[in-house]
Amino acid sequence: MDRRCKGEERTAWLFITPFLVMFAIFKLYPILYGFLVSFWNRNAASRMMDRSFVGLANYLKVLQSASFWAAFGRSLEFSLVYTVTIMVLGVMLAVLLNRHFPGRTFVRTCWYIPYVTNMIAIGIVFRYLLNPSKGPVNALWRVFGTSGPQWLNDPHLALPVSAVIGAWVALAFTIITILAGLQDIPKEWYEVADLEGATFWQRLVYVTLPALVPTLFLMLTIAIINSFRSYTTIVGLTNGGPGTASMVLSLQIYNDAFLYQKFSIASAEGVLFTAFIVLINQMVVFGRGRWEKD
Amino acid sequence: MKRNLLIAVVTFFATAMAFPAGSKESGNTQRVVTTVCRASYANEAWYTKMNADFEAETGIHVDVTPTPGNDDDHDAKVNIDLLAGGTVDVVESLGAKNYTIRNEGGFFMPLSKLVAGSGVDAETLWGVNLPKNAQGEYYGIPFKQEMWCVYYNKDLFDAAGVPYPSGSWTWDDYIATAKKLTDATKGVYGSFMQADTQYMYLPARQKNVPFYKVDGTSNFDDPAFAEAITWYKKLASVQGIQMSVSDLNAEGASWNYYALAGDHLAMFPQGNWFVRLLNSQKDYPRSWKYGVTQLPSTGADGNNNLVSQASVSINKNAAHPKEALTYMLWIAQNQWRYEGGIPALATLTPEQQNAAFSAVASASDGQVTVSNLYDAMLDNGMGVVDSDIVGTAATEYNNIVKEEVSSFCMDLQSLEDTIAHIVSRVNDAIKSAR
Repeated sequence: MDRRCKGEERTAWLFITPFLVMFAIFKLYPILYGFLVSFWNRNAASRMMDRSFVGLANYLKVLQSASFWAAFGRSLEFSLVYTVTIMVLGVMLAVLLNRHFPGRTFVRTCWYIPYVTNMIAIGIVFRYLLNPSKGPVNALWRVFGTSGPQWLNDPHLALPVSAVIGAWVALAFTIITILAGLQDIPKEWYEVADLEGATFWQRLVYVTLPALVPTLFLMLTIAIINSFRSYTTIVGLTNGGPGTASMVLSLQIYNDAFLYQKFSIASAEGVLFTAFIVLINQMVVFGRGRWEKD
Repeated sequence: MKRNLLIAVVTFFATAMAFPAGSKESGNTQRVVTTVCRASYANEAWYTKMNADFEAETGIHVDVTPTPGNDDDHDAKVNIDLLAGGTVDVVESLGAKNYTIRNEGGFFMPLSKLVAGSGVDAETLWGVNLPKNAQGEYYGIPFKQEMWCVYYNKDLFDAAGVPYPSGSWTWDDYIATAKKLTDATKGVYGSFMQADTQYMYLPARQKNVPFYKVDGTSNFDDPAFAEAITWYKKLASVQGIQMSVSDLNAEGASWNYYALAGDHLAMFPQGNWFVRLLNSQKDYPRSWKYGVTQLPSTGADGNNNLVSQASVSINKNAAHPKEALTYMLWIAQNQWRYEGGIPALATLTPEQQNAAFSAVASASDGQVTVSNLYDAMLDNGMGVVDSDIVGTAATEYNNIVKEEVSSFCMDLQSLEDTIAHIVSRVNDAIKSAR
């Protein structure tokens, strides 16, 4: 290795060292410590210094807890609605925004605004918009003589509505990434399709989507991970209610740890949840491998 | 050039990381005591004046950190700080539930010797209100009591031609009055009770039905609780005198809702702390006048008012323990003079209490009198019971009741299932906490 290469390597290390230090302090250490805590018995304020090893007791308690499985089921439901919404709308809007039309830059910017807006502020706005008696959305229903849905107040709607709002907020990132993917597709492919007399839908199905597969798998992975990190969305919109209708696992983990001081139980829930997310993503990676092979 | 620029950038970031908090208090030799308060207190004139007067009297500066969010957020943040070994000096705990959780967590200093050493006679000053354990030790000093009462909107009573409530009354009387005041066409409700746990079990609590059985498990399967939650649900679904739980959620009817929207809500049972909001035209401008009367009873078997005691303690990791002791003792004896509430002093004379109430009456601009307040909260012929769930896994117990009763009120589950879910979930929580 010549002197120039060595110098560049040193510079590279200089730049990444602050990140590595911060990552070790604020991410790696808490993850490892949290894993350790899940084997201790820190499940009350009076036992915060307790380091007695209890084996898998916390994991067994969690796995036998009905509230864990209920919250887990709600997280799956949230994830399903969120991921489907973000993927379908992401592709549709990216394809539309890739076409030339007056004001395209303005429209693209508008789609990006929710992504950089505070989720709590978005929650306040949506709680007003969807207020069944005072909100403008239900005012439309009242024009037709009906009171309309209860939205965030309806135990059956609160979770899917929150998931759709969460997806809408994160949509900009998906659109931009897919747009970048679209611009990487060689123009010649479309020219050939045009010569063959392909329609818009035929171009989409036979040219655009196959070419976008690597990008779509990447976005699917990110969407699934983000869908399980739904804490802010739920707190901003429903805080887990009505009743426990939108109490997803991320919120339950927070409550167990910081409201009820059951840190070991919360850590065990967190470890199990993380393992599940890793498993799902491995399945996506496997699916991508199979797709590319075929 | 590039190399120099690189060195400059790296040096800048390294310096910024090394001194992220600056050099606060460097060279400052003033004595300091630190405390935390709810965000709602931080800008209130009485709170600022109280700390300024303490500083003027003792020379100790009070460094206050307000915590944003509601009461639950505040309590959770304080608990986390204490758990993490935070060094804030003085901590106020509103309600026996918070005091018990923190005390059982071992976060507070034992006070009997410290207080005796300071020359203050705690036994005489606070008497039976001192939260002593079996060994006679205590970890907090009570500084105020929250007594429940009913606030009412005089304008709505006048418009409906209904006389203002006064003296002892029952919940049946309350419901009958509320019905006369309710006008659905105008969105006026005779009663307002938030979707909060204390309202959901209120009549059972007034009958002093315990939350825990002798063996320490949940006692929510006592028929009195089933009766109480059915009563709460029917206030909206059958009596029609107040908003349903669903509407309350949609409105986001939180702790300060009555002060914001009381123009269409005739009566509101709540603790005496709420008078602060009703007297604050700056933060809660109102066009209507309010009155106050005593809490209704469930009859002879439930003639109790709800009370919640607040206490002040010293963190065992306090950075300034000496100053903390001075501040804690001062607060326990003087906060009521500023806040205008009901102190927990055993030595309090009726004249002193009236002086505190006269500050409230004066701030109300003639809407309530000293005798209104005294009659409603202290001279009401009622006994007292604690308003909170106090015991093992109390916070979780509280939230489970709220979640399950909310589901029951929205017709998502039967009464039997609600009780069964509460008992089973609470017993799991108790088992886990043990």
